[in-house]
Amino acid sequence: MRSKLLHIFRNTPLGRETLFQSIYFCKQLNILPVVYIPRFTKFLMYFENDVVQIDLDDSYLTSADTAIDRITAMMEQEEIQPSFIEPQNFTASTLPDLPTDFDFMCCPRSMSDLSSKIGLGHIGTKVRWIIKYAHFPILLTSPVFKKWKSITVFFGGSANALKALRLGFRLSKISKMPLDIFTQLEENSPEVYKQIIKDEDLEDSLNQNIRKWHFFESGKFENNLYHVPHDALVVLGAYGYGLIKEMLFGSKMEKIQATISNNLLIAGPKYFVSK
Amino acid sequence: MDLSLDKFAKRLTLPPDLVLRWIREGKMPVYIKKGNICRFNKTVITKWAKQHNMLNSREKTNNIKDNQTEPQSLTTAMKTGNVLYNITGNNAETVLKEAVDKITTMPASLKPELYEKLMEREYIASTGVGKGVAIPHPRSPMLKTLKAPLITTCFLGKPIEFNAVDDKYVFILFILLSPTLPIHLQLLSELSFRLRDNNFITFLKSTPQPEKLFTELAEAEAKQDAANIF
Amino acid sequence: MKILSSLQTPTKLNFFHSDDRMLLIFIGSIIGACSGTAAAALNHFLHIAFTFFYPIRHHWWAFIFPASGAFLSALFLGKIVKDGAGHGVPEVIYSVSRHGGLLRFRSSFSRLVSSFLTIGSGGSAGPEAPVVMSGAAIGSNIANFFSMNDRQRITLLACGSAGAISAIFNAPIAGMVFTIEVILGGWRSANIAPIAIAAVAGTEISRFLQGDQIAFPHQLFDIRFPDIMACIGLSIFTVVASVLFTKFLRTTGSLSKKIKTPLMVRAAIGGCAVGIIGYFFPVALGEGYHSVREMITSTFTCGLPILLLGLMAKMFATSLTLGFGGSGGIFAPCLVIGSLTGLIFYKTISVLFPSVIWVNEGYFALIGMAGLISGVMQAPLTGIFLIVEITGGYEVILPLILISTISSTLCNYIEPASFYLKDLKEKNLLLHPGTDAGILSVLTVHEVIEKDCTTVKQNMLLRDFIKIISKSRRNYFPVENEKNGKFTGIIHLDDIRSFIFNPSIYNVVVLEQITTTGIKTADPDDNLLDILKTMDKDGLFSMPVVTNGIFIGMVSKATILDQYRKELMVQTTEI
Repeated sequence: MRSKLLHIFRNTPLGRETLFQSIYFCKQLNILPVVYIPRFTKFLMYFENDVVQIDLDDSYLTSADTAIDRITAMMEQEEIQPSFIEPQNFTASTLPDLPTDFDFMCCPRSMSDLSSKIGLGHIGTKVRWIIKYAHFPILLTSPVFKKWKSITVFFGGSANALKALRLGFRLSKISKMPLDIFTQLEENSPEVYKQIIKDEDLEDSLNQNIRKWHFFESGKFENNLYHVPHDALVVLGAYGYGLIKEMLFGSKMEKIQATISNNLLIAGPKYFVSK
Repeated sequence: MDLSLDKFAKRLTLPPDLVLRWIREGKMPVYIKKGNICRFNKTVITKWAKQHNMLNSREKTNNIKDNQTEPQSLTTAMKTGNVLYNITGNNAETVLKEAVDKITTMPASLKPELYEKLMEREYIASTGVGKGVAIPHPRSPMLKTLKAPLITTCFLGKPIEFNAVDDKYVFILFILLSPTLPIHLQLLSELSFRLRDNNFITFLKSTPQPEKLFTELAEAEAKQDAANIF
Repeated sequence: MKILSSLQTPTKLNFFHSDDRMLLIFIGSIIGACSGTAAAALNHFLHIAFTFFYPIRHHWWAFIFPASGAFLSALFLGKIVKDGAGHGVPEVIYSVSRHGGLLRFRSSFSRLVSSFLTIGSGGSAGPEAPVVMSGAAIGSNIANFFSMNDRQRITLLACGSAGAISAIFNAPIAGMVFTIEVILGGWRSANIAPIAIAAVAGTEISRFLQGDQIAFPHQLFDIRFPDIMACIGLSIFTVVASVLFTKFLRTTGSLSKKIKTPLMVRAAIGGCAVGIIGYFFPVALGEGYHSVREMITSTFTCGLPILLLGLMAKMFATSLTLGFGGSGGIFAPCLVIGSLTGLIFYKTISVLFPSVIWVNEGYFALIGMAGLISGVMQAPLTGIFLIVEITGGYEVILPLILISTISSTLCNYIEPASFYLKDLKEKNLLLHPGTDAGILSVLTVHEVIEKDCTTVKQNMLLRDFIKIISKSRRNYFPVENEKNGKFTGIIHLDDIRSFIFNPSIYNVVVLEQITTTGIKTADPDDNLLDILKTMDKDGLFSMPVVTNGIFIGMVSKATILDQYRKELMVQTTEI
């Protein structure tokens, strides 16, 4: 069965960039984009053990009557059959439930229409919530439509990074695009990371897929990010630390997204590698 | 004890998705840990499965698997059954009696029972399939003592009346004994397929020696297998 | 750290994951206490607001209080916590029936604050439903904290709701019964113990904080046979009142949606109207316990016409408050309307049968309340036990049972769904485990699909197809297009039986010629209920599952039944 990507449509120029990004992503990876055109400013997603309410701002409700035509036009240009979802269930009369059986979801970095916020500020709280609870990876689009021609995985050795690495291998296989791995060495030697890969039986897929493994021994993490190809899709795992911990130590995800404007694909802590 | 979800679901012969849903809904006394590891108490889960009739389906599928044994080769069965020459008699009873007596691959104590069963089958309808051939066999899968199927080929001294479908006199008997019904049907169908070939009948009429018979059969079988691949 | 994490997932411990009853009772009592505290707090603050506003209520400008209260309440709900308006009980029921009792954390306080603003300022609504919502959300979130599964979460959610109702009325049995009858919609022996303990905990907390007092003073009645018989007559009155009240609530709700103003302005308009009504009929303001108390003690002296007008005013005021975006429940308004109905009935029969000596007004007010509660919520047991407990009068139990059952039966006859369930039933969102819809809704196509079908190509010769038939265990053969792999139709063995035994046509027939095309197909995302409906309508026994034109498998009634039975067994037996 084909994988599905959920896209929340916003009928504004910025929303158009996001949709273009989704369409490109889907086309590269043979995924079926499913578009939700919001009719209310909020919706619920029931995940395994949590329910997440996502509040949109009013810009998402702009001229809903033209939305379908515009989406259809954009999709047909890329020869993709548009498909839409209409929520069947409502928790309250203005609170629809969206199904969660998707394989990817696309979000702008912040669900706000102010371009100043969308810039490289920080990841919006709502988006952060989705990442924390979703069992699918989230595609955080770059501010404007940007094609990517290779895949870069950030690998720090943790369980989530492994998930992201597997995801990267899969994407690279489907899209036939080269794969780079970036690792910031923190006290460990490259061998430690290679051993982790070995322990997880990933050596074969590593050798099949990889173009280059970059190790950074020195320098600040942010500065090293310059070496990430500007036209790469960046795949990384997120840890889902609490807010306080993040304020104290800062999060890699936040640093990466604030430094580079690439498209990010984030595998959250609940992301489960499907068969 | 701990098991991965996939393994755990396999043990219950249920799809993993379903098991996961039931665990989440709290319908199964199982706790699920991070990374889809199921932690459960074996006695509790066995009790649960019994209570919900989940064990039966598992046993049944196992039984089906037992029945679907590897297809049996006609040649092997014939080799096991041996070839007998010059069986004499005037009618079906006497011929069968002598043939059963001469069978080498079976303890003598079982022979009366076998003869009775073969005759029982003959009374229902003759096993003479035409072209001078008869395939006597018991009605029900024969004799639990039998491990592998066997076909005893008996060349008769002189052709006899056998009430065959085409009223021709029978010159050869294939006594077909098999441990289970599927094997019986399979061998029967293969044998009949061979016998459709008129050249083969002519070949049989020449009363060939065992080695010649087996090589001929094996060749035909190999040809058939090749034709089956599509 | 390790101890902490094992505390957070107690179900992981061997002792608990096979038998969690003690654990649920323990956590349930904590939840009962928490939701009881929330309920007692709301009650306390409402009391303070009442004493503050009571002296200035008679001023003509007092109508701005309900208006501003409703405005603030809508502002708080809509902009600050971004939650929907309404009382929330349907949301709890929906979550129990569909999502294993998952509720948002914000629900555990949002309704408390907004209903305090609405009711405290004089809006006509009850604090019970918001408290139920909060209690349920507290239960659900605590269950999540301890990583419980759906069944346990629902039990703990019920504990929260029971604790809340018990605390606000100081009535443990009513809390249990309401939860089981309305929220869960069914008895399950495993649920009873934790819910009962939570009800006890909630009541105890409320007694500790507010003192052991029952809401209404205990009266002694001298009930005789005619009084019991009169219940039957009164039940007709309560049925009419219940149906009218439900209609009012729903019409104003749909009316207000047509007014194209922001929610807060709308709420303020409703609040204004309530304030104006309240100026003439103070009985219509607030949650109205004060008036009920007067009616029970027979000190509420009004003539019949005033009572009738008062009844109408209360109904209008409640509809305006709730329908226009205020926040609160209908429990307390039901009590007020019920006692007014009782009084009206008493005055009517006193006029009609002057020779009979009836017991007194208080008795009819009590019975009326039970009648209305069981009528509007269609929950007879809740009506019976609540009134017994909040009035402390066991001697009225016979007439209570009588009126509650008659009233709820008649109301059910007129309105098949109670006020709480009506919206859900209309949208077809209500499911109970163990029912046909309940089972079919959880089964998915993925769980019943059979993928062992052999697909064949359109241009294959019949000769080759015969070989495939001999190896296949299926009667259905999906046919696909060579070029794009798209599904074109299906061959069913029954349809071609007549010519597969005719070897002479083996080489001349192509499969395309014997394929049945244009048959109905299902999508993997389809609802199983719809698939079965289509099958029943067209007399099919199986349907191909096709997505984007590609065949992926078959669903058949046989496998659905098999899975259905398993699911039924799992849903209906207790662990």
